[in-house]
Amino acid sequence: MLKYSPLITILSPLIGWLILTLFRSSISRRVAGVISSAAVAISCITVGLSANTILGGHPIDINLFNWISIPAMTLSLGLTLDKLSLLMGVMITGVGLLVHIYSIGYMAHDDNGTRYFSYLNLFIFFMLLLVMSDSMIGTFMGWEGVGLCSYLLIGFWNHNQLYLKAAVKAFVMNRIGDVGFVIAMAILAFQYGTLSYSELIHHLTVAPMSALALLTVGIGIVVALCGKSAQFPLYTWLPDAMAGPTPVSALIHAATMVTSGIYLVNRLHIIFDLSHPAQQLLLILGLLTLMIGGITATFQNDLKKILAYSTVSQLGFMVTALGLGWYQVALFHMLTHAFFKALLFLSAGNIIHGLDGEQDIKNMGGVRKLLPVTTLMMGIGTLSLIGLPPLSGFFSKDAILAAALAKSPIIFGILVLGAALTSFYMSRLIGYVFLGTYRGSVSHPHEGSVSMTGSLIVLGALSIAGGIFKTVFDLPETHHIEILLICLSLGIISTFGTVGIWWARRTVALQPSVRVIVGIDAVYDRFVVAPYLYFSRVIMNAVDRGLNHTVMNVGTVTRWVASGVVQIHTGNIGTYVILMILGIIALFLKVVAH
Amino acid sequence: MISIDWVVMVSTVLFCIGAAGVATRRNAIVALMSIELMLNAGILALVGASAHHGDLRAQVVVLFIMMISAAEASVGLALIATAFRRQFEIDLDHYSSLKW
Repeated sequence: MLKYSPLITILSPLIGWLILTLFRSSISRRVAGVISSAAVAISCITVGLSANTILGGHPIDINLFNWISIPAMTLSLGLTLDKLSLLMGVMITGVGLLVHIYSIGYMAHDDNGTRYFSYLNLFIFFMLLLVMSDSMIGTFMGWEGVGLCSYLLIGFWNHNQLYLKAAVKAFVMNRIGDVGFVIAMAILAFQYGTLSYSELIHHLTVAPMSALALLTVGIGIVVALCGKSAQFPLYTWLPDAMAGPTPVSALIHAATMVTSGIYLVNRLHIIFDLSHPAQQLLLILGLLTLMIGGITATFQNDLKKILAYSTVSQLGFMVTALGLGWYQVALFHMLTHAFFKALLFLSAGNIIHGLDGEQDIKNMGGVRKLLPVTTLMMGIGTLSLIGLPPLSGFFSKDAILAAALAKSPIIFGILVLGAALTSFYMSRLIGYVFLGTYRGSVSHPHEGSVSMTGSLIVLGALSIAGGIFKTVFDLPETHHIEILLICLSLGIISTFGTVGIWWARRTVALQPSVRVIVGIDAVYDRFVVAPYLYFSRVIMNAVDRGLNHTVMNVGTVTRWVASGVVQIHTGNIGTYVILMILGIIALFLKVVAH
Repeated sequence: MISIDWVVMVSTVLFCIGAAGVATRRNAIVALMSIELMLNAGILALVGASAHHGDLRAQVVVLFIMMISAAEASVGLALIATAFRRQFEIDLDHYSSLKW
């Protein structure tokens, strides 16, 4: 039974998707919610049951079939549940299940609820394939699949042109990352004739490639990570992706899909151990991203966009940890981040749901009296995110800071600055949304249904107690600086938290006078989109028109010939008979001539 | 005994008359009759050849041809009758819409 647990885990959401797709018209959205939640619950249970065996040091492997077998290489598809994929699997199915249950309440009034749940199940399937595949090629299939589901769900409300544009943007930006992935795969396959992780790691340990090849593979993986995990300079799709339904933002664009880059680097961390420049690149990108994300978040007025930029910034923290060579630390922060960011997004979903779709924090205020449970949960999420001891976020951020301090004080300083920014923008958000008096227009804001509140409470508990997972990871020693880090966290939180709330009080009545333009999008427009359009126009005028003329001329000549030949097609029987007889005579003459 | 040459010659002449009739006459019924003439030319050639070679198999084929020509005549006449009922016209030149 345990032997097949990876297979059951991965197939259950796929079957859920199949059922919901095949019988879409005959299943009501409430039943669809229950079916899809049950499918994910099965996955969650099978993963949970196999946890003991795997943590005991016995990974479960299933080889499904040989896909491509040629002399140069063999590609086999298989599933593996080892410590890393177990951790990812627990996170995906756990947070996934809670988001599914939450969505039953959130999507209760949407006519396309069944379609929504089928996409969610498909996403869980691809995400599990991504983390449980035993080869890069399987991971790549999952990688593409989650990109597709992300696209489908961002553009879920497809009556809005802007949402569709956001979906297309996310899709295209992710494709740029995929190029890196494909290049890395191609080099490894060419070099070693396999894409299986265990064999690759074995080959890389025994006979590493040249430094240049290693660096190229490393850069390829970093580009893939930049696309999927929203790092500088490809992060701009993530804030736009907030167009999707809020539970989708919580599941895909905060907890799971955006962490697949972190997973990939963890899988193939040997490449970054061997190639120092590639590791440096990770470090630089991580630091840049965490600062840019944090700074941009302080200027946003859209509830979900603040959280999105916060996600970008936190992903920057994780990538920094990867760049420092502490891969497990990044995983730990990823896990706690999944808990508290999903909690924050779902709470935000509650607020948006309760206020009938209002997302501008300038139009909120005083929500603490209107939605008390949500306020409590959002408070827990915020405190965990800004790293108040002993909530889960403290332990993971603490570990990253400790790793940085051991490396260089400059990196440590940047990380502290990032943490200070986090405290500032989150307390600003709290000040706008929950404190003061209500400024909105909806007359009777209401709490969500039981399924929504229930999921929130479970996530809240996980955000508080997530620190207990600390023992699973290999973390830097912090005993000697524990006191320092606690004092530092408390200092940052109290100082910048107060500043944030004070700032919110001061600016809440002001209309935003400066529209902060995120420069990176303008750069893309200027240097990528505009030249691309220009090039397309040139191609259109020179090549396409020419081809068009050629094809048109073929048609014209044919018509001209036909207009002559058609004259003998008179419709008159007599003519036909004469022509037929002439034909027969010609045939006879031909035979006689021979 | 008439030589086979004569039989073939008469058959050829009959066939040419029939073909010319189909090609030139505008009356549909006459055209149909001309087609029958062509068929009979074929039959005549077969009978002559049968007698010449002393082989009765050709005459069996002749029976089939006669049957087919009867069927063909009935279908042809029915077509002409239907066409006439629709358009009051049996001039073949009138029916020239079946083309490009």
